[in-house]
Amino acid sequence: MTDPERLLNGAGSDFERELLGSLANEQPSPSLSRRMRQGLVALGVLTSAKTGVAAAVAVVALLSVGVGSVWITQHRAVPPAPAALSAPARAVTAPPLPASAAPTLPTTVAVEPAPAVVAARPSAAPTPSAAGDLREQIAWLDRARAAVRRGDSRGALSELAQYRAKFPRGEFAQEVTVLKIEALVQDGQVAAASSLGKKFLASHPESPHVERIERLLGTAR
Amino acid sequence: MSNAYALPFAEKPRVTERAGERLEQMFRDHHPRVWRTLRRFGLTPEAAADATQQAFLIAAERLDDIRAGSERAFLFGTALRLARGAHRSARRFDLDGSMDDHLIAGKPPDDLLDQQRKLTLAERVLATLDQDLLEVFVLFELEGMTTPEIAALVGVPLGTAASRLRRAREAFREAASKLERSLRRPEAR
Repeated sequence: MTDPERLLNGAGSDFERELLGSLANEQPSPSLSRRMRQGLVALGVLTSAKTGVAAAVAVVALLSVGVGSVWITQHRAVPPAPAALSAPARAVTAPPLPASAAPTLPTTVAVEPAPAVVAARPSAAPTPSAAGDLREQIAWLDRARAAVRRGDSRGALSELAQYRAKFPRGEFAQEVTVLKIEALVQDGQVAAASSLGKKFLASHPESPHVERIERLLGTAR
Repeated sequence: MSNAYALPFAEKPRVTERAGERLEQMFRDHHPRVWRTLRRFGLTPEAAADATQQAFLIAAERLDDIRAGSERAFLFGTALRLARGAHRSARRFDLDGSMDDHLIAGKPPDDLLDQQRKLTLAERVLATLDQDLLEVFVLFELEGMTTPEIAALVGVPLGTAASRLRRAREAFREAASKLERSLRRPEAR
């Protein structure tokens, strides 16, 4: 049986390749990678030598993850591995690992994300109205960005305010906040920009927009 | 719950120096892809990070059973099962609310807005796939696995994996096409 050519490698349209490219390029931020490592150091899976992380720091880091600490407790509470986990050596040494040999996790081990962020995954295809919403959101964002680029900070702030009013739980909250900070700086509202920026940085220290916001606030000082 | 659970670090797995080096190599080589695959299976960045940690802890506990060269398959198989057991994440953000703890590889900060917008749209399209189609699609299209590898990993016959892949691609392309058409329509305001 021959596999089809992958959409990302040329079988897909330009739009499909753009979408797939963005999915394929996502990576954990360095700080998130560091936190994963620190957690594993604390668990004794990795050594701290590579990063010089003290065990105490790693413990604090792991506990600060919150969800991770819940899991550790759960993991240690699970009964000994069921017989199904003790797959014959022959099975686990055959490449690739057969599914039957891969660990079947006890239900008590499952990650339980914080309730505030847990919700059912959207399962329905985008309806015309949902797609229309997205298109409208993007158009709004593009107008705000264009306004910032031509120096029309008031116009940008107006667009962003309208976006917020129309889409209080919009898909592009992060972009809206960054653009608002940029527009405020441009408009000379340094205190407001600084306040919003600091709030954002405090709430989202791991955001990929941190550098951009710090640069904007640095410019504003 | 015993005190040992309250102090989980008293129960570290015994990892020899050689095993530690192997785990270190596995972590360096595979943790970004394991994390990304968990994200594609619908976990939030935080939940994906926790599940990645779990996958490596399980790998440490079963290291002797993992044949050299099959580390990736083991980790992906583990990630798949972790994702199946985890809650799905909401794909909507509050204004000034939750932020993805991720980066787009190799993109300068100025380009992040566009990249994140694309990612949001792509996730929206991916979210239209049923779970069984999603798994096959992600492993084939994004992680470069072959259909036989996926069949073994997911635990289905080869024909089933191929059929799921065909249906997944059709579903993805249909959803992407709908989205593209909707984005290209003249905006009404």
